[in-house]
Amino acid sequence: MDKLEKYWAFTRVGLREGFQYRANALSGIGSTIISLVLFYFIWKAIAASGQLAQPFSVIISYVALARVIDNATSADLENWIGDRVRKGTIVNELKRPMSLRFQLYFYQLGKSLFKLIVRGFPALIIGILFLNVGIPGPVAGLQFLFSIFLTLNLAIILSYATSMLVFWTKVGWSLRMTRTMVAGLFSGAMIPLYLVPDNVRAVFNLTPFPSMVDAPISIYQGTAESVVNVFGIQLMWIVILVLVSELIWRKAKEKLTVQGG
Amino acid sequence: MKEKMNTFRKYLGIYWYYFKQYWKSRLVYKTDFVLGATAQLTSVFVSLAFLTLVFTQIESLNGWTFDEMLFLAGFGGTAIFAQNVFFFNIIRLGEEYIVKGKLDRFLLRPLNPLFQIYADSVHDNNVPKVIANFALIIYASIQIGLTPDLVTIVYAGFSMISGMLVAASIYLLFSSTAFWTGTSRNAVWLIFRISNFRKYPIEIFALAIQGLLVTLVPLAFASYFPASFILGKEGFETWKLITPFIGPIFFYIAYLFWKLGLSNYSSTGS
Repeated sequence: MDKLEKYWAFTRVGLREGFQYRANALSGIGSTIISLVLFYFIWKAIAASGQLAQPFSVIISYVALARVIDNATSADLENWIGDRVRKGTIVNELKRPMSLRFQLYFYQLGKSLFKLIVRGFPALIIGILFLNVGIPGPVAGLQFLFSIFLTLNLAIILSYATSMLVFWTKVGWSLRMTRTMVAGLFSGAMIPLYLVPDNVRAVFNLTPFPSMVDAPISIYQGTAESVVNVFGIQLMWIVILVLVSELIWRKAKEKLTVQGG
Repeated sequence: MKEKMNTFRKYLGIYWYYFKQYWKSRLVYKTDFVLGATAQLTSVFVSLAFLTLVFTQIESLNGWTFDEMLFLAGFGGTAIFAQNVFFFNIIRLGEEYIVKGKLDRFLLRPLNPLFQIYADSVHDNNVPKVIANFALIIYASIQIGLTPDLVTIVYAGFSMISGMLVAASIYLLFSSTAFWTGTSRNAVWLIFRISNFRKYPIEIFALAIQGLLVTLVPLAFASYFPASFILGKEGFETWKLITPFIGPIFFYIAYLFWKLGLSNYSSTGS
């Protein structure tokens, strides 16, 4: 019980940070809406320019959900660690009687929950009202929420894994930018994966990224052949990434240099 | 006139001094350059991959072929990222210069404070992105079989410089809101998002967005208008004609806004 409270304290810090920087939250909603608008017009033009596998109304609902999920589940531990490694204050976190990974996980969980509520919900409502997103049944709805929770975990762990590289590189922003760019392309956040040629999609499916956006959408829209399978693949990637990040962390610990500053 | 030339030479000399200083400190974090350049190049590749995937589904987008879209993306990209190398630092106005009080130091020196902010950093990790985008222009031109006459080449050159000033003016205008809000990061993030609109033919957007792209965020002048003139596309004739000359006007307006903000500025005292 004590332990749980300890962890919860980190989540609270993350949540509180979200509420404190209200301007950031506002601009977060702004950028979600801008990307919704941009993708709406791009896909409208694409659909008008050729014969696609699905009509525009179906595609736009996928694209809108993708934008919402992608924007609401982003994590940024690279900059957090980058700052602390460069200034040397990372020792404060390392001194605590709690492993770095749990501190970061629960802190980011709080931040992400804030984002999910403040950015995700308004954007989802816009999608439902204007972009044909539709409302799932109660069962699919609950399954979707669980799937989003898994996406959130994937996003946090992935960010954690790349942030471990900061111990070598000393900078975080470029690692994060590269990660989000690649993830955006492979996950379905930019293009519905059913429009991607089969052989290319097979390559995408070798990465964890489709589990982050395409997977919850397939549950929301009821296009998943087996919901259990979708959860299974999401969980598999979570386990793999946890192991990978643990390996990198072990290496990083040997390498760890604290800059006096 | 002669005095103006002397001032210009003096500023150029000082810039060179800043530039050398910057490189000395730059060498401390070599990986920052390498990784930054990798990130920037990744973003070019990802948008190319997106375009390629989209064009597996269609022949042309609103009458624009794949190669023409590459040309459009390359032209705007070259203009924006080339000016980023020298004029990007203004986006840190709020967080770095106003809140931390660094601007006060600049105001004490007998040099233009805006110049000092620009000269304070060089965003060299944009250079690979400029090269990649310029390569796109060349590649697309060859694919399309473009044979520009002298007028078109001169037009392209002037439009490119004008486009750089347009991009610089947008950053300056939006960053200057930091004089009132204390932060420039959020305003600039919105610009980053909106700047993605430049990669597509302007006609596909609603009229309100087209309006935005020629006024508050006039990226159409750095991307769509010049590209469609060079490629010989129909429409927007007047807009295309003023494109090579509009950059300085936008930059002057943004500079006036910056000066208004500066006169409104009071130190944080930190």
